[in-house]
Amino acid sequence: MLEQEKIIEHLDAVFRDMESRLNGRAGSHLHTLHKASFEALRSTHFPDRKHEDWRYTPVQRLISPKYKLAEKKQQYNIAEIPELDAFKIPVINGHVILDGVDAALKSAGVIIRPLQEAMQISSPENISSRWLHTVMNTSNQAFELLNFAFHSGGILIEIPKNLSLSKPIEIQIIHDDPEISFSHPLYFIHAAEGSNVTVIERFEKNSTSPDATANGLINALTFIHLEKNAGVKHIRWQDLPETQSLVYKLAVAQSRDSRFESFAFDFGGDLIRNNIDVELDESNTYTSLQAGYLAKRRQSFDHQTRINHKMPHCESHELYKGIIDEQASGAFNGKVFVHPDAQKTNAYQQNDTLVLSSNALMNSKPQLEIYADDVKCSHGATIGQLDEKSLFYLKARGIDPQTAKHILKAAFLAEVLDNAPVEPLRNYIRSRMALDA
Amino acid sequence: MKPLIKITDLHVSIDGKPILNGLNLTVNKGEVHAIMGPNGSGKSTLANVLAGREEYTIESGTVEYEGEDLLSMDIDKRALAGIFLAFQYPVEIPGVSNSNFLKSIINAKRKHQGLPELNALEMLKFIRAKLNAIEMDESLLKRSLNDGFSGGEKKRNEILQMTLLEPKLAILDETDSGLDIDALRIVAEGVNQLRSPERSFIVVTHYQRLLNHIIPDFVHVLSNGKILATGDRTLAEKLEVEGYDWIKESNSVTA
Repeated sequence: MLEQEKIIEHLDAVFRDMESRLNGRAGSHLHTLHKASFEALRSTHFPDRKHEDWRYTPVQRLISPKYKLAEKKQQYNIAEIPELDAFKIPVINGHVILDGVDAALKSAGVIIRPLQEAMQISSPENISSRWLHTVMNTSNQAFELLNFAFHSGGILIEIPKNLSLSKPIEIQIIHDDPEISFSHPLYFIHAAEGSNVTVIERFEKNSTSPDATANGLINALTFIHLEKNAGVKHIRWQDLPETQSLVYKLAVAQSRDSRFESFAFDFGGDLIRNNIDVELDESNTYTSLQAGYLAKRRQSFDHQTRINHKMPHCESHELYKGIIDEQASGAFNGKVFVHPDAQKTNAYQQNDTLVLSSNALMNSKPQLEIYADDVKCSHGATIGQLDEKSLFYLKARGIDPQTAKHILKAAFLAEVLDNAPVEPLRNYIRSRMALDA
Repeated sequence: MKPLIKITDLHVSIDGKPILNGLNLTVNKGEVHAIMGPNGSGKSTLANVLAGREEYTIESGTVEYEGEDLLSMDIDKRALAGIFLAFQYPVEIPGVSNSNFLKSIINAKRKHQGLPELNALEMLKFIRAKLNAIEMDESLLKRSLNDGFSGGEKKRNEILQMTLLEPKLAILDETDSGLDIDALRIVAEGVNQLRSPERSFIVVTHYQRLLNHIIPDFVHVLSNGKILATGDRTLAEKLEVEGYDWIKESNSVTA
């Protein structure tokens, strides 16, 4: 039997087990979606390394374990980020803990709806609802379908028109199950016209449980839709246990005059696949994607970005800086498409990597496809080691070699970290980095 | 009295090319030694070898520092033992704030001495006092280490580190290069304030003008990796007028 068939056969059993526990909710919108997505998944092959976008990802390591669905769990504890005042939304094993959602979020004007409910609102004026249906019916990617088939009911976060949220929203994502298991967080964020919000997605350990020993896979999907003149700042911080992997997909759609900035920081976990897709549907938008990461052991961090410039006068920036050490590997594949109508596009992309061991590996692939003639596009990639002269300088002042190396690593990542919003989170990441030197 | 540092018959090469060819130098506590010489004579090599720079190969010879074998000591251990090199070309490190760097080096020394680390307030007070002495602008603390600093600002930052670390042996590698006359005076004053019977200096310079401000006890002329002449400050004045050629020709001179 082929590997793919074995995987589908196993997933089929998991799916049937999930259905057997629906307790009368069969036939609901969500169940229909689950079923349709699983059927689509059956005929969609999981990618392998022959697939160009998956060449540098040991995808077997992701899909071969026989995952079961992570059990619903109410007990959790996530270490607070000192001095961070945020609206918290806990997501444990793929379940949004609605009781745990900060009540102040509602009084601040933000509407949180379970997907089940959001999808039933089918008035044609309801942009969010239409958008949900479109997104869910058009996906053809295996991991997205896997999420749609197995998710346990995501949420829709609506930021109403012209609301500027005073505090960031902190979505806390934990996977905690003693058995080999996967979970599928799913959320949609809709920033209405003129609204402003900062969203932190924090993939963390459950500090009340011992570090997980069984393989875990978090297969998360985040959709962000920015209406006219909306501003969203997004930070993804990932410090998962060593046994857990993350397949993360962020899909962004931007309308006229909107501004989207995303920062990703990966330190923990095993295999991390970070996909960001940005659709620039209208003109005069601003997009910035940045990431800083430190891979060690046999970690594999893979960043895939795709920015689709469809309309004129849009600007996009990408800065990805990573440190790859020990036997770890990294990949950056940055695609920028500039369509014929997208004149006056300004797109800039940079990927810098420090490779610190002879067993470490980095693959960097910028990919610009330009079909318009009046545009400014550039890309660059560098791969290097720690600067010997700088190391000597620090040691010649009495700093021990280990600390000297750490200072230079932190300095390398500082360019991205210093740009990120939310100071308490920046400080938290800095202190976390200090432990990992 | 036991010398602070004693260099005996030191031979050093880089990429197979000999640079120092049997150098001897003894520095006692409290002395200021100037090392002069033409370009390529090995002055900077000597300064860098003492600090522990790894590109150089020690072919033979010994360096005793406070009775210990300096050449077998790690770079950071030499610094903690009181050796300070003021770099000719201080390295720019974007992303490391100057103030954090200064805190790190002060606390590294305090840790070595078994003292508690200074807290943020004590640190700032300590650094500020020294800043004023060398007329250095406090805004330079907030910037990245030497990043985009002018030549003069870099050299002042070196002197600031020296005054913070209070070394036993300070080696100044062409600290005067690239400085205008005002900056030169300020840097020299920084050095002079640190002069004490407990502290020694090796001042490497190509020109005599720095020695008008930092008066040396001894002047050595280095050529082809060897000290060819040793004298007092009048030797430096003679070099300024007559150049180095007469020494190269006469091979060995005592002025």
